[in-house]
Amino acid sequence: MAANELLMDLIKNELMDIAGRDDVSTSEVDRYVYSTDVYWIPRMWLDRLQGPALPDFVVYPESAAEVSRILKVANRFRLPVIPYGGGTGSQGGTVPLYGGIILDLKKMNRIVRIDEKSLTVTAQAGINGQVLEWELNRRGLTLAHYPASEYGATLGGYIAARGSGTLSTKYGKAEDMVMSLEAVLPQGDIIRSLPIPSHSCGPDVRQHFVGSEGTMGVITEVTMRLDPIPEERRFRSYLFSDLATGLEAGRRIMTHRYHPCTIRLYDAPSTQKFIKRVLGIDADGSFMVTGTDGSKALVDLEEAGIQEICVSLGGHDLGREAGETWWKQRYDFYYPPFTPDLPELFGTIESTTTYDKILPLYEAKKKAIETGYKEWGATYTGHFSHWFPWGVMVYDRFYIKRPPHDAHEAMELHNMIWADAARASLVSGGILNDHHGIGLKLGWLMPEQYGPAWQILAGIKKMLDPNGIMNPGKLGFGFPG
Amino acid sequence: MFLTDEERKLTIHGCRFCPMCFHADTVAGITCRETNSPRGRGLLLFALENGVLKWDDPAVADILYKSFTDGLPEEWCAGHYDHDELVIDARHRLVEKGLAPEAVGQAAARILATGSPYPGAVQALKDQLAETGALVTPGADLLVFSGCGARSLYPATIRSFLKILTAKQVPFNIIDPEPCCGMPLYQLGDFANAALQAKTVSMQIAHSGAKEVVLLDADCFRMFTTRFARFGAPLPAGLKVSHVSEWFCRMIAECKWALKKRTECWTYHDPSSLARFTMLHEPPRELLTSLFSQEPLEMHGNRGKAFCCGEGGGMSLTNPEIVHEAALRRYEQARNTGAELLVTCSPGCASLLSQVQGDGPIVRDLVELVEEAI
Repeated sequence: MAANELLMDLIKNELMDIAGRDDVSTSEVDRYVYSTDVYWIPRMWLDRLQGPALPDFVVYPESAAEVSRILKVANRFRLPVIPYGGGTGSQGGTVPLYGGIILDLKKMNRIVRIDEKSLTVTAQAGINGQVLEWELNRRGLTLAHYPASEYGATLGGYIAARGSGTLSTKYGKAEDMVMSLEAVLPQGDIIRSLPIPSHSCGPDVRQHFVGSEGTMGVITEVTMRLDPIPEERRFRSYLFSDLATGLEAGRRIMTHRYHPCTIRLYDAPSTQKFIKRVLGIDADGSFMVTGTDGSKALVDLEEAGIQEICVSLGGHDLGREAGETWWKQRYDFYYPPFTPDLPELFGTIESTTTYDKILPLYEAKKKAIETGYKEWGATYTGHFSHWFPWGVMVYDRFYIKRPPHDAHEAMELHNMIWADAARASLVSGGILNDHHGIGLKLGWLMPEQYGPAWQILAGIKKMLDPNGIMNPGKLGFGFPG
Repeated sequence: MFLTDEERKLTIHGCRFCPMCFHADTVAGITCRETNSPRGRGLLLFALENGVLKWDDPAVADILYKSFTDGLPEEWCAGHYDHDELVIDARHRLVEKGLAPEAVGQAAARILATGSPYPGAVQALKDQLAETGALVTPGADLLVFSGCGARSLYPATIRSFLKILTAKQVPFNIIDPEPCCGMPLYQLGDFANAALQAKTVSMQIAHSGAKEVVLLDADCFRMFTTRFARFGAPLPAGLKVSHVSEWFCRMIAECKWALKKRTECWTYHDPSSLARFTMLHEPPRELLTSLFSQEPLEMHGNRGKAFCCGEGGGMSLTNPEIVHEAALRRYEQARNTGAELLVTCSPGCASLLSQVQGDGPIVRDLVELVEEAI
């Protein structure tokens, strides 16, 4: 934002009046640190010493009332506002493209109520995912949401990005767990959705904010469904000769309506690349981990049924140890040096579709990457980790070991690959993204994905946020008004 | 000094974009700021290395001195990047550039003048001796090193230990006046003065002729066992270095000390220096289990995953308000166990946790309990 020093000081003073002197920062260090999330582009941009997109202010509100007042100020000065949780997103959702206010919600970290009778928790949106889980575990409860970002992400971030955890196959995605929420609308009104998610009272207001990535308002408090910590949780692993057989095994497990807490099927390159590196298992073929939980009787029953399906399809039963090791080390894949890192060019181009289309979708994307970018030595790996009664998600990645050093050329190559991969998903009956969100990365493809239906989302956005202050440039929405 | 250039580079590279240990950084949890998280510090150091940000920006020192350097982020890190050593290294660079906070220089001056970094009166070991009637035996095989935490903040540990030695007729010697081992200076990045202190202590121990030194403070134990040699202050060859919990375990086993059992419910706070830097989880638990009729009620975060109570990183000298909040949080975790006693094993931890003691468990140092059991 181009603004003179006098105006910026005036705005700062107003923000300080709301949040307190210590909770408004314009320090160069804070602005620099908040210029990136986990998305490859802003990381590469910083790594190559390019000038980052900096916020003008970083503000730490403590209540919905403070958020409301901040949004009113932002509207008056036409200042972008970027809600920020854990900054663990991989889609550039918190990158302050147009400057403005980073609204870090982590001071809003209070657990408001745990209802042990109905099994729900109400908490402020900025609470850290792992801290919330620890508090629930003390009471024998769990959110049962275990995303790889759990240690850094916040509850609000889970919801705003439609996140998914490693046990989503049984417990659902974060969006399935939301009972109700409180949000601050772009012009400052504080609203609540209906107290329960199941009703016959028209379209669900709650859903306007689930997956909204900070473009429709600020989620400030959420009530989530809980589960008791299961009596037993057991993992088992299998090795299939090829991916197609593994996919068929997973399909049969789900369409027989077993309720595994996880099925995680790795293609041959991932089995070679990651399973060997992290778990120390050297195997050819497709590695699958299955998990079941609940009462011991239920686990015995489901484990036996799943085992029968896998073995009948020629799956080699590797027993429990490898699966248990995977569970214990499930997040290790996401730490450096195990996770892809610069200077490598990489991206997680995951998508979801129905069982009849999933293998062709995977093959189309593999071809788009490995053939389309052969001269760059592009490689492609995938695993299938979130299973539904009707289909499955492929969590696939591309890698280029030696991308151009020039930041602009590297970004151009990155975006070309993304466009090809995303369009391969759409053409094959998939979607742009299953659970990482859209952000800055995929926003430009949203109108193409939705077609004429895009006008519904665009219309709601225009009505709620006429000045376009909320996280501009994300989720396919335009620029500050 | 403690990270090679390559290790430093790799650690900055590993931390600068990684949000995976935010939950393990107590300061990040308290301040709720990205800048105070391992990722924030990693990014800051990357920017400083590349001239994007400037070392003389006051925010730089402010951020780098807001860390407990307690090893917990590394404990959670699958890549085992030594983030805390990276922070200490950066503090050292600030000291070298004359950009460290004023409190760092003041602490160094106090250590040189009084043998302790803490402001206020420092009770000399000889005063404790007079109070307990314990007698020093010059040339004794056993040397007692109490540490600044016990001398300045929680003298009950020294008094109890001296009473035990007297009751059990164990001859011992002390260094009088006892210098600081240099641990606070190392954590604050003042390596030159830390080395000076380490060398002074090492030399005086050699001069004493002791065959074993027993340390009452967990931080001193870490300094003696992991840092003295690297500061160019090797301890005399053959000298046995024991933390007081190990020493008690040995004496109870070898000398068949009879101990009266206690009946309270208890929990144990692992000092960071024992939990992660010297891996001394079990001797204190074994000793305490022999003192109580009940098994411990373990706290959320124990052994290698124990949260810092606020004593780490020299933070009490630079950021006492964050230290207070960390102590409150750790005390709350103890209260959640339902224990009647919160036992710890380092005078600094005992002092801090005592200051925030509420209507939950009573805070005691392990040495006090041994004295009462004998």
